[in-house]
Amino acid sequence: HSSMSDDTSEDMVVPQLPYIIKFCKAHGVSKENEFGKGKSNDELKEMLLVANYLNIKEMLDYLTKTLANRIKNKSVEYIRKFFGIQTNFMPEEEEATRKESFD
Amino acid sequence: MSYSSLPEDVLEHVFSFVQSDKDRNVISLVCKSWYEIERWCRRRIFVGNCYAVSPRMAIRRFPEVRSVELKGKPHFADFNLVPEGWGGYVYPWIRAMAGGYPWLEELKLKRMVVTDESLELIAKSLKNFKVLVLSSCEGFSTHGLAAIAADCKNLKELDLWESDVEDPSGNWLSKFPDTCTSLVSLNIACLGSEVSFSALERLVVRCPNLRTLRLNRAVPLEKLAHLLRQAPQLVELGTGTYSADLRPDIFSNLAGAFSGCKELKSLSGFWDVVPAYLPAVYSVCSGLTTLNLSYATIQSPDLIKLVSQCPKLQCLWVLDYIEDSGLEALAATCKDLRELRVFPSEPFGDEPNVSLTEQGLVLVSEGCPKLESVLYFCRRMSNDALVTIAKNRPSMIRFRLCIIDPQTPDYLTLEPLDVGFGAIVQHCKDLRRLSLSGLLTDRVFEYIGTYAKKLEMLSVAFAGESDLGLHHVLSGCDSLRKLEIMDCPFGDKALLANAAKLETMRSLWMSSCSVSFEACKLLGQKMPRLNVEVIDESGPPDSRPELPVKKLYIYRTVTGRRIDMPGFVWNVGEDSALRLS
Repeated sequence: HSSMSDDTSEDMVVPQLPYIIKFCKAHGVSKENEFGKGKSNDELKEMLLVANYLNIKEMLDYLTKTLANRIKNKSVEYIRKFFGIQTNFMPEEEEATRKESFD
Repeated sequence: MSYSSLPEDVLEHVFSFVQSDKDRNVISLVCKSWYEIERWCRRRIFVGNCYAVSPRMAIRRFPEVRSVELKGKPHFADFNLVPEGWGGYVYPWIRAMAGGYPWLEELKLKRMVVTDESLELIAKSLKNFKVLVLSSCEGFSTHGLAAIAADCKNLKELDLWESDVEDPSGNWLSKFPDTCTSLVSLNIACLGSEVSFSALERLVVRCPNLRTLRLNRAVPLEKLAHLLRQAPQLVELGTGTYSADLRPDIFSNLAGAFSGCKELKSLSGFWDVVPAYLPAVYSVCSGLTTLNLSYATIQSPDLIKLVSQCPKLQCLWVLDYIEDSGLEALAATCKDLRELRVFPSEPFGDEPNVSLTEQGLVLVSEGCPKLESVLYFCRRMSNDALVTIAKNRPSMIRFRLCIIDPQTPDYLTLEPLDVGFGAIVQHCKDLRRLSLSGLLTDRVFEYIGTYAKKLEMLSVAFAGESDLGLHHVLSGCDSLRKLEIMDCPFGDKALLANAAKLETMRSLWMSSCSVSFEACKLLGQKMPRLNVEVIDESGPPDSRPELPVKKLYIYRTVTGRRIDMPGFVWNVGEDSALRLS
């Protein structure tokens, strides 16, 4: 898995493992809602990487959904900041894409 | 540690939960890798103005699309303001998609010109085609429908919502092969002439997943019971004509058939209603969430009896025969109501023919806590009523008020209705759509520009005093996408001062206003990414430059001037020469 070649991510994975084990034990609709609450973006990401690596489908579905909810109805700038992403669009490229009216 | 290092398939999984066009467009702008991932996994596109982008552009950017939604003519085409032949042809899109989207499953079109050739091309080229929605479209006949019926082996939905269909022969329904069992939704309510009832019945019988069936007027009431017994699983039903000779056996048969339909949530149709047959539907009323009585010419007492049995009603479309008394009953019974549309029974009469006033709407706004969408035709209104409505329902999202006589003042104070509409925009902070009417000065536009920050669509007629009105709207409404104006004293100044704003909007329509041809030319030259189209059926607009342009339609586009303009449409563009068609 390409993301797992990054050393630091393996170290960071461990703190979230207890939550994941707890999730697997308590897996049920009513408990699901609580796991996303209060988790920071980084924590969410760690859990996502673990769930993806361990291929835990239900957890992966749940986490990706949670992440999706956090980016709905937001601006481009917000999402970049949230994810720590620097844009690599040239201003003209971004402008051209914005002008295409698929809305 | 950055999210851009999340594996591509994980990101794609996240994106799969983000379906709104707005959000997908935002995602595609985050960075180049997100743009790439997003464009390959976008499955549906919505193009609100078919001339804003080209089909080739769409196919190139989003190669794996399965569902396309397109809109053509401007909204005011519904009021016959757009001459025939203006445009909105879907054929170029279908030709492109036949090659570029061979796996296309859904096509939804609104206010477009669709030809039989287009329908035949769909039937021939798109092997997995499942859903065809033609809403307020025209230009095709039942020959085209026959091709769809015959060749689309996996057809699930055929919806001809309010389209204008030529009907040379009635037998297209029989073209559905016996092997077609996949229909889920069939809406033929707009068809003028008879369809073969036996073909219809056979189709209904062999499609066990049929959930929506909207019949046309020609289907007699006596046959409805028979059809319902073949399809008791129906969730949405549009009756045909709702009149028959008064016979107890017909009634009991019909009532029995309805009582067998345990899943019915939506009813429509009801042409030519004979009130004595209304009780036949009573057994399903307790489960109804949508009731469209906009063709039902029944009076208030019968309407009250009906509506009072529908406590779960969420959406009601009805004629103004319901009157204030009926709306009072509605407010008392239907606590789940979200949408109300009241249409005029006699819009061209001089005098009110029914007792429907602002009071009815006030009562509904008081009694229905979830009310968020209103379309209301009436003959009088007051600022007090509007202020009350605004304070009662701050969660209002769509508010369209149509006071039938233009420039009607507050009937109590004889003042303009500025303050009333001002209260609407001030209290209803999530308002997305607004239609104004009555006597209005520039002041109402000042309120709108100041408060209506989420407003996306505004419709105005016979309002305002000067360019300042238009300027307030264009400079203040941050979310504005569509603006349509008729018969207002708005001219060049506001338009030219807010030229850049127009590129952030989908479109602007202005007819019978005070915009000069010179200003249109200036705008067209200044803004290369706008199409500035002047519509004038009496001749080239520059031959009478002293007169204001009659109709003006401005929209943003990346494809330049369109090549299908008829002789009465002029694109006043960059080269400042009139394009002769």
